Amino acid sequence: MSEKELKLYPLRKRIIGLPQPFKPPTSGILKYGHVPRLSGFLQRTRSKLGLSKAPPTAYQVKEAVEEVQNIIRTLKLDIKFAWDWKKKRFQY
Amino acid sequence: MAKYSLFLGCYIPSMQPFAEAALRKISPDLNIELLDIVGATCCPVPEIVRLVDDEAWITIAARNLALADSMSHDILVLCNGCWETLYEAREKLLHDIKLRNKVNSNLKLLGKKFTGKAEVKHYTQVLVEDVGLDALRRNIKVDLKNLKVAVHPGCKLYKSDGEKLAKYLRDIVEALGVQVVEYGIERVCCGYPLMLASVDKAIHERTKWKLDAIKDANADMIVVACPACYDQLEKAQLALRDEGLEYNLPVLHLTELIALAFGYKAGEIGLDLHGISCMPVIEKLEGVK
Repeated sequence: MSEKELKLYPLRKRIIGLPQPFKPPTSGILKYGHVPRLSGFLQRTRSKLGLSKAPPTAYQVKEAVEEVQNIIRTLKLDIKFAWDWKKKRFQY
Repeated sequence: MAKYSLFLGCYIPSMQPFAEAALRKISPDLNIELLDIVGATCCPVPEIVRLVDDEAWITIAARNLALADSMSHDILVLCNGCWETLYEAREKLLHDIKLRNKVNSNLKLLGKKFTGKAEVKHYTQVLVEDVGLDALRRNIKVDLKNLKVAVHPGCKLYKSDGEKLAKYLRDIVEALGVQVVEYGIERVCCGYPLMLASVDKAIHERTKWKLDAIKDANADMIVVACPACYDQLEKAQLALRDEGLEYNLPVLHLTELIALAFGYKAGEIGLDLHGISCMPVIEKLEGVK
């Protein structure tokens, strides 16, 4: 619930942390900039198909992942869903 | 040659590279040049990030759009979910100046700016409106007339203006010369978003319903334009097999079906990597030749 929604619905229970099914995809976005990790097997499979091992997206470009992390920090979402930057996982 | 900035999303490059391989093979045949958006991230996934925080959703989407804006070509999107996010975020940002200024002030910290120069196009739109169905027909080298295909557009394509993208998908499949099989519940969701709430309900009350209708209509395969639908329709069959039920419906991306029609071999585009074997489709095509 955003701050704006909290003002609109002050009696609504505030949810702290993310629902369980939302955690793996959100964690993926925070760690890799994409929902799934690009595994070694898939990198080899891509090569066999004549594709680059990894596309030049956040899978290759570290700055892209950092930029997404900066957006999350700027919007204070890491606090909202209790993300531990050091351990790279949710606190609860 | 028409140039497009290619937005791959997450699932296709990391889980379904065969869809990307097929697209990259057929593009030169259709006079399309694909330019990778360097540094693109998750669109982000509308079913999750938009619900978690609307501002994060639109800011991450605007960052991806800003990258494409700087390339000055329209964006070709290969995934229904990515299309929904990027299309809707762009529309919102173009029509809400206050929101645009707010998002751009966040993007300024990253040295980026959303201008809205690059239009967001699902690849079915590119194929019908920009390339044209005649160009598609001219490249067909394999007769697919014996192939009975069930079309699954997915929910997002029905959100387009006048549901045109869902219609385009069907038009493209028909242009390939296959027999399109009617199964009555084409509009029903594959069940993928429901997986977030209940895996059991999603598989048994949604995907199975759809798969049963497609089986009853005697289709040889299902064609999709979305990696999430692909994932759901395949994984549900594998889960149902574990329960002792028989499900063997190959699921193909539209790009793969086009590549087969253009004469590319199954191995070249990675059809052997599918969870549900595509051999029945390949055998049927070889029988036609």
